[in-house]
Amino acid sequence: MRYSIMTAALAASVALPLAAPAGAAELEVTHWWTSGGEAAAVAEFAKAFEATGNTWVDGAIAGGGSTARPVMVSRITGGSPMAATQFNTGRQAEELVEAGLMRDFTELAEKENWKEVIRPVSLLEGCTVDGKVYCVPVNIHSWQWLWLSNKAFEEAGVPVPTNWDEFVAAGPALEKAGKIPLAIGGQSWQTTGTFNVLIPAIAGKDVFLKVYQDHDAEVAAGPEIAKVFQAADDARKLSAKSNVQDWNQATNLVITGQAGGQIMGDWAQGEFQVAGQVAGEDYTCLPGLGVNELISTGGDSFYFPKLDDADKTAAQEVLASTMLNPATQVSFNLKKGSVPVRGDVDVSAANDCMKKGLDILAKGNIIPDTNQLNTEDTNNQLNDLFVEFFKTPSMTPEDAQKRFADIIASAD
Amino acid sequence: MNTTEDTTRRPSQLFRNLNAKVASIPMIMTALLVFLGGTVWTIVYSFTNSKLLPRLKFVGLDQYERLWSASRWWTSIENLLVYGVLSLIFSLVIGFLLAALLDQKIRFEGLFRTIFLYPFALSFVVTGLTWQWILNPDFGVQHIVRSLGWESFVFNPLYDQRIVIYGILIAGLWQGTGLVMCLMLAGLRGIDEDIWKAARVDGIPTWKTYLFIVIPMMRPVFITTLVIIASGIVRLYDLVVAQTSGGPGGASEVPAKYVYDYMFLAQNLGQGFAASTMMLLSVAIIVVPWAYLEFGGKKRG
Amino acid sequence: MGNDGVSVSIRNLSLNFGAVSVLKSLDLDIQDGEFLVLLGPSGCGKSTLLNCIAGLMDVTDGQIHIKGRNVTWEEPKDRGIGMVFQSYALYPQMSVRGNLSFGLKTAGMAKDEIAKRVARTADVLQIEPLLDRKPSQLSGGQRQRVAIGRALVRDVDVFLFDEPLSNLDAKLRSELRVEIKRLHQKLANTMIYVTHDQIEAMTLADRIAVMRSGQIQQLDAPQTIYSRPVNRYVADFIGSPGMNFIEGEVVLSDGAPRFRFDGLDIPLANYQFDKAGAQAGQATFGIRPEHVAVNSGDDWPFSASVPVEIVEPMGSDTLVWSRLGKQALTIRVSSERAPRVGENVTIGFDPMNASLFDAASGDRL
Repeated sequence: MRYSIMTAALAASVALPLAAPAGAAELEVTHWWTSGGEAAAVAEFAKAFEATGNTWVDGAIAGGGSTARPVMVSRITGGSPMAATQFNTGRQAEELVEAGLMRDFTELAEKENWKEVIRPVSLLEGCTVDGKVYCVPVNIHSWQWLWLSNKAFEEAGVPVPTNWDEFVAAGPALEKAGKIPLAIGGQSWQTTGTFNVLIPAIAGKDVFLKVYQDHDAEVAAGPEIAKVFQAADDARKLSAKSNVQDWNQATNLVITGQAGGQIMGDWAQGEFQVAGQVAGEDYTCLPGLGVNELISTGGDSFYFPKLDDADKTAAQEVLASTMLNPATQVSFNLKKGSVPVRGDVDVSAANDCMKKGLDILAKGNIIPDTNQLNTEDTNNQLNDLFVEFFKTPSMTPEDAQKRFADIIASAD
Repeated sequence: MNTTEDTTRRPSQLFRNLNAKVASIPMIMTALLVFLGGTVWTIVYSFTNSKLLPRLKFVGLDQYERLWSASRWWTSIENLLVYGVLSLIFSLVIGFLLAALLDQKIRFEGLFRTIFLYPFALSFVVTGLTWQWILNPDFGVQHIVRSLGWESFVFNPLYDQRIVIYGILIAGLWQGTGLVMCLMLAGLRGIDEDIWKAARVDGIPTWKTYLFIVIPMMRPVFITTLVIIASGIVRLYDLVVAQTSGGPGGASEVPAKYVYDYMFLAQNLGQGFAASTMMLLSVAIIVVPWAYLEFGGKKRG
Repeated sequence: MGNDGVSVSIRNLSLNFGAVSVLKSLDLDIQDGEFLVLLGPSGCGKSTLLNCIAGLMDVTDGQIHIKGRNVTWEEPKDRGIGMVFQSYALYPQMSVRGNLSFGLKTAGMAKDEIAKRVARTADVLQIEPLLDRKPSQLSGGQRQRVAIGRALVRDVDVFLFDEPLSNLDAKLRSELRVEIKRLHQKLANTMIYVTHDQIEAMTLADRIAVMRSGQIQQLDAPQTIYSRPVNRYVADFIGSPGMNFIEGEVVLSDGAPRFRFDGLDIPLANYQFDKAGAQAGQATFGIRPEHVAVNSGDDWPFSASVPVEIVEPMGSDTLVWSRLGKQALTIRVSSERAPRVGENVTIGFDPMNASLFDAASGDRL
């Protein structure tokens, strides 16, 4: 007698969570936004989603994209997918889409008119395979920024530089004042990012596209890129004393005035915000390194793996829609330091630097992000090359350029 | 009366000990499917150009060509050789010395043994992180010694490309020597007391007794320990990731990390498979001749 | 040398492990060329004493002199001793030749001198064909000879043996026993030999030191220990089958001592009392089975008729278990004349062959 009552009680307790009110689903969302600024931004998404009556189960993965992406991929290919996951806008999830593991939002895209609303439209093209839309771009991040600490230059007794050459020239003064001129973290994607920013800044948009879009190995071995490598050599010398690992630790060096500057994407703004610093007063931003005002239109997109549960699948549409609605776009992007993907939102609350970015975007001085042009394999090879180059003073720019050309030649 | 032979045939060998054979089927299947099957699968797919997901598009030796022309792979192998050889030598030497000291019937032997063995209970990740902090120039050893007065003291292996592998070696030795010491101690305890007495009466100094008499007697223990240390060397991955992330500038890369990074970060399974096949080959090159010497030779004797 | 023919001299030797006293104030002088056996059961301290002489254990008190030199605090290698162990303790990874020469090589001896010594030792012990073999390829007896050889090459005065035959089977043991005796006759070195086996002790020793609880009970030639044991413990230890012990009391009847027990009376006129002379009191009468005659017809100072309870044939002799008075008595007879169970036989013996012990202290009277 007791046995069957116990069994019934256990069965009932197990059944309870499944009997949730209809329409309210729990969606697990994975991402790698773990720095102070990033966490504040993703909380906005969570808030907006929960306001629709669903539950946001946060699946933050620490360690940056390179740590998080393998985890996400193995979960999806391993058969226990999350409901939604972040990837950088581009080719990172290409094979997963081709393998049919992601659900498409073509209907929702047409209903909410994404083609009209999202600008530049290249963002949506990055999500489209065979005419079907597989992901939701949620922000525009650009890499081409030089962040400078006003305090550091003041203490070194030099004026804040307005372009790359002035920055390089101010290097010795900064060193004398005990500052690290250029802060770069040890993770390899950061050194690659630095180099990739130097290309459009020093060699211009066309060369950048020839190398990364057309994968032209001749140009990669040519004189314009040689100049970029010289600049990279300068950057190498200026960052020699930098010995932190994560990007936000490097940003922190700039925030606290221990470093003169950092070449980093505009997601660094989140850190300045959380630290309470004001653009123009405490820190200065130079888009395109102050040389060529070009910004890349990379960023993050959310992909939604196919799920069996009907409630969750319905909730996925709600989440996609929420992420793109104007209010959420504003609240999220302001905290994140990125530009909203919608052209029709009110960004008057944006700070100086973001306004500069919006300006450049409006003028159309944009280039695609390398994540949209290269496979992860090519990017990884570039990471290996540049992290070695930056930390090995004995490696000559010529040698590095030769290897660079080889990688570009074999890129697909 | 017929002369039918009433001989009972010897039962078929196959069905003898049936219980034991049936019980071992799961393990045999695991060994076949997982170990053997997985290995063969990996080797086969190392000849394809699988990217994020495996696909059967054969490209011959392309992955291997790319592997051997990658500077990072060469660095990895170099590092593994340096780490491997030094780790082996120092583990054995230090482990044996500690065991010999502990064997002197000292007081608190149990306490010392626990202290030396304690690091082995820590994972490589914890070990790597701990030593990253200890070797950090801003608040680790260098900082402490400097604050004691020696202003120009420099001890910053993790940020020096040429010696970062030695920084990892220190952490690895700290973690693993305790186990070697325990194995050696067990081996020493198995030495007949009378041998020590005989050597003493013969007037043989203690160090010579260790070197020429005791250590040769401990050959099986040394071999076991060698295998254990060697397996730890080839597996070197989490220590590097935790301590230096392969830096600075890729100077502390190791093959296992190359495999992982290319399989998962670079979404290039084919390259990762090629690298791990090379690792298997190198282990086989060492193990197969040794196994032949140890076991094959005996059959003839 | 000023050692008066004394090879090893031990004075007041004491060894304590913490509160436990293992050796108690021992005194022992061993003559040049003497074969001394330390005999006793497990735990009596004989091996400990040997280890102290060898220098493998540090003494708590007392002195050890070897060949007139005070070696109490010297290292084993400097004491002029060679030692043979129960487990042979040969160096397993070296050949026999290596085993013999390793110690000499370490001492820096010249190669030809080493070769000479090894050859000589191999000759004496007849292990020449074994010189290139490893210990694992030798039999137990061969190994022990190599172990002896290792001590031999050291050209020392004193040899120490720590139960060297205990690991061997009975037949091998008796063979090697003879070899050791032959070796001693040939080399005439001082040999100190530890064993718990009284047969080895009796056959090999010039003198035996019977030990108990860290003290020497009796130090005498084997025959003396056998016929005139100094206390009951020694009497019980030596002799197989063991001595018969009869409890009773000594009474003086008209000045003549007699031993009374269970209504029986043994005249002690022939018995050699020690200096103190005969004294009345509780005592134990000891007589060895082989000293009891059966149905001999001769005139014995004491004779009685006893029942045969058990007969144990042992080959050439038979052990007869019977009863004298109320106490057990064993008798050894030649198997040809063995009585049968249930028979009554007449036994007789002479107290001259007997030993009388004080019932309380066990000392010989």
